[in-house]
Amino acid sequence: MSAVLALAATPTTARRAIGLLSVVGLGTEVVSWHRAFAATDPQPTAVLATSPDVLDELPDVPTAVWVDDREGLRRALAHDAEVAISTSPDLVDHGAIPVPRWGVEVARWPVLPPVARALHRRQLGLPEDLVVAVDHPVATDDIVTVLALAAAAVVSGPLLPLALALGTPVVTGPETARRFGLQAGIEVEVASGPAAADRAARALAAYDHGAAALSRRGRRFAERHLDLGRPAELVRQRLGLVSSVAAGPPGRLLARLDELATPPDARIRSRADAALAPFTPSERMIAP
Amino acid sequence: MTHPAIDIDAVARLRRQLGRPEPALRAVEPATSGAASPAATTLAGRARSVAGRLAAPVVERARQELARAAAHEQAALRADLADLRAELDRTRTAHAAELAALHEQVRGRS
Repeated sequence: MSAVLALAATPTTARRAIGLLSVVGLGTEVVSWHRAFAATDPQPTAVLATSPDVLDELPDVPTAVWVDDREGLRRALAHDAEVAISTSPDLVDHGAIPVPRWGVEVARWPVLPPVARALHRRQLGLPEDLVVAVDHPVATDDIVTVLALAAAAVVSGPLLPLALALGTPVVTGPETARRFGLQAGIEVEVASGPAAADRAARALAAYDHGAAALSRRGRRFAERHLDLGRPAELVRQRLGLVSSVAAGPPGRLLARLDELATPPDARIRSRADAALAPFTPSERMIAP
Repeated sequence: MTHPAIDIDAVARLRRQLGRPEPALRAVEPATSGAASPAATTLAGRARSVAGRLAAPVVERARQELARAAAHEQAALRADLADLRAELDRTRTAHAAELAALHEQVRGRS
C-alpha cells in the first residue's frame, strides 16, 4: 500500500498548504487528518500541519509543520517535529525550509524561449506577434498553451509563476512585481494600467533580444525563488516518504495495484508480495 | 517427433558423412506424401529446403526491421503512457489536497 500523508490544519490556515501538499503528496494518499484519523486507530505515515496550534492533537508520526515566527519554530522543536516549513526568510537561518508563498513545480514545465515559440506559432498558423493578457486564477490546459505560445503576455494574477517557469516574456503591474520580488526590466517588464501594459507587451514582442533575455531571466527567477519542487523533495525526505518512482519496479507495481483500487486482502496483492520478495532486502543484507 | 526447425536433408547428409545408417527419422518426416511418390516428395522437400535457405536472410532482415520499427513505436507509446500516468497522479494529488484542505476548513466551522 502507498504511504498516507494527512493534512492537519486550522480553518484559517488550511488553504495555504494546498500548493505544497500537491507536490509533497505525489505518490502518496493525501487525506484530511481530522476526517480520516483523529478518532481512529490506524495512523497516517506522516502529517503536514499548517500551524503549530494543531501539534498537540497529533500522534507520534513524522510531522512537518508550517511556522510563521520564532515562537512557532520553538513550538515545532518542542514537539519534535521532523521539519519546519516557512515562507519567512528570517526563519530559514534557524533551520526552517523556505517555501514560496506562491509557487510552481518548475521541473514540470519545459522552458520555451522566444525562438521556439515563434517556430510553433508559424507551424500552427498563429500571428507572429501573439500577445495575450492572462488574469485567470487557475492553470487550465488552454491557459498553459496560450502562455507557452505567446510572444509576450500581460500576467497579473496567480499564474505569474507558471508564466515565468514557461519562459514567457511577461509584463505585469507594479504591485504584482513587488509581491513576487521581481525587478522591473530584469525578470519582467512593469507597466501601470491595462493600456500601458498592452503597449509594453507589444513592444516586448517586437524586440527579440529583450524578450529572449526576459524569458531566460524569468525562468531562472522561477527556479530560484518560486519552485515548489525543491522544498517538497526536502520535506518528503525528512518525512520518510519515498516516491514510487524512487522505489523502483516493486514500488511501481504496488502503485499500479493502488491505482486499480486493489483491496488489501486481494489475492493478487499476496502474489505480488511473493513475487517481489527477492527485491526486498532482508535484515541480514542491511546489517553491516 | 522431429522439431520442425530441423532440416531433415541436412541431418541425412551429416549421417551419411559420419557413416551412420539411415535412421527411422525419415519415417517421421512430415506427412506431405499422401498420394505422391517418394521421389516427388523428396524433390518437393528439397525444393522447399532450397527456397527456405535462399529466403532465410531476407526473412530475417525483414523480421529485424519490423522489430526495430515496432520497438521505436513501442518506446514512444510507453513514454506517452508514463507522461499520462504522471499527469493523472498530479491531478489526483492536487484534488486530494484541495479536498483535504476543504475538510479541515469545514471541521472548524461546524
